Amino acid sequence: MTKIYQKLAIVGEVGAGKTQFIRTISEISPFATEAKSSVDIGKEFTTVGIDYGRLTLSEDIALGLYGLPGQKRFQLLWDMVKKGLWGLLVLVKFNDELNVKALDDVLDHFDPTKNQIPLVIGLTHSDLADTAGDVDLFIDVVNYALDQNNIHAPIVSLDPREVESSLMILQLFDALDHSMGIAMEEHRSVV
Amino acid sequence: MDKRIACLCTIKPSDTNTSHSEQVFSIFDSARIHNKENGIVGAFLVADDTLMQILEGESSALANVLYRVNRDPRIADVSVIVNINIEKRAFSRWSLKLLSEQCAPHVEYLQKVHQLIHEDASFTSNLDTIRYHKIFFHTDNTRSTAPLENTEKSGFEGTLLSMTSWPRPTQLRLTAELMKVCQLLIGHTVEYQRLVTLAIFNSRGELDSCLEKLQEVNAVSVIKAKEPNNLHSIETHQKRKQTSTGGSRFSQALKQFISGQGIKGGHRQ
Ligand SMILES: Nc1nc2c(ncn2[C@@H]2O[C@H](COP(=O)(O)OP(=O)(O)OP(=O)(O)O)[C@@H](O)[C@H]2O)c(=O)[nH]1
Ligand SMILES: Cc1cc2nc3c(=O)[nH]c(=O)nc-3n(C[C@H](O)[C@H](O)[C@H](O)COP(=O)(O)O)c2cc1C
Ligand SMILES: [Mg+2]
Repeated sequence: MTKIYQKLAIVGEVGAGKTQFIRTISEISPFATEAKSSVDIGKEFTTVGIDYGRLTLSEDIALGLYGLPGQKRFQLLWDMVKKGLWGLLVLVKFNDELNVKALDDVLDHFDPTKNQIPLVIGLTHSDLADTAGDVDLFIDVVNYALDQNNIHAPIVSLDPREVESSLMILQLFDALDHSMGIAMEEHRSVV
Repeated sequence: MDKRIACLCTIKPSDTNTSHSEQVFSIFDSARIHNKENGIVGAFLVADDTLMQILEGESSALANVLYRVNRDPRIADVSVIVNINIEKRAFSRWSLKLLSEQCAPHVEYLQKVHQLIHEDASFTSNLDTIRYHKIFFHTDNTRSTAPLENTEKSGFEGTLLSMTSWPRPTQLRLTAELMKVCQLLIGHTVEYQRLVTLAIFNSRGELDSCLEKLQEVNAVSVIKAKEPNNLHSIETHQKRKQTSTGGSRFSQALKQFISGQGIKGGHRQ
């Protein structure tokens, strides 16, 4: 059987939880020793360059996890993993800042609609919000930014420190991939 | 003594390269910081280029806001339509609502805000009336179609379904199943029957329960199909029974792995 290697890109601003997400998933990989060695366990440090982790599903099937910094000046890194993505996870950190510009850049660059890349916006650190209202406001802002980019994408609360929460994200991508396949078929039959 | 003020203004197109959204955020951001520091609460409502700010706070603090707003080069035609003394504040924080996206919770929220201020509002110009309507009655075609009232068992039969945006996490926890349905419905109008034939779920009950969940939070619009239907989706192509595009082996392996991890939502085949 042919080997299958899918790629998930995780993009987000400093401290959004990219390294954490990749570490959480890589640590439960059945071939953990192999996976661990390739994971940058960066602790409190900002990752310079790409984080890499892998979820090995069987001998010939694996999911590569690529953590990429969110700032536009790292476009070169974005280009490196952009091709043939299984999914794009944009992590947005809940906080006081309304940093929509960075999100615009990422969406602009990856152009998930045109390139048919399943996209999920993961809202991290929402456990630190004082009230649900604050989270709601923040979601408004993110939604508006998506709207401006003509993008419909689910926004999901995510805690990258938790296995269940992180795996849920993979499940969602799988679901998106599945129905995107159907939607494309639908389209083809119409045109 | 606390006051409540509502003022309408128009957001100017920026002369530099900043987009409309950046312009809105920059105005909101300066308002947010200033209002937080001065104990002002209320709402910042935006519909296209129209901005309505409802502000509650100490009268001197509000006067200061009006002074600032009037001098803000990003804003034009400032007009105060409500100015009253209040016993009790109706808002607990300062929040931003961007109404251009017209999602259901916003409609509800708007109704509440409208209730709160409409008796005290007075308009001095036509422009005010127009802008006021833009904020509160900015209607959206997809929503003006009457939702189907009280669907009984299998009540989705013969309906057309569509969604304009993803449900938010604070409204509804997305599951893999919900996500599949949303992905198919967002930006499209699809016959219920079509969803059934696509066989995304093991049973029709599962599909119905997904749709009900979406309906509960007003995320999906359900309308009765008219008799002669010119929608393409009516003809059914039996051929695509096969799952996703080539990734099915991967998908299978992933599902197996996740259900092996004992995750609740793990969907077993
Ligand atoms: N409370 C809380 N902490 C989180 C959450 N997500 C991540 N963290 C923590 O936030 C810190 C920063 O996360 P990282 O994973 O290092 O962030 P990063 O995206 O890799 O950041 P850079 O490499 O600097 O770009 C870590 O200590 C994480 O454990 C969350 O949802 N809630
Ligand atoms: C189990 C497995 C693990 C893999 N690990 C990596 C990896 O760590 N880094 C990488 O760049 N490619 C990895 N690959 C991808 C392959 O080396 C090869 O590049 C890929 O299957 C073909 O991709 P292409 O279409 O981009 O050439 C892996 C593939 C499999 C099946
Ligand atoms: Mg990092």
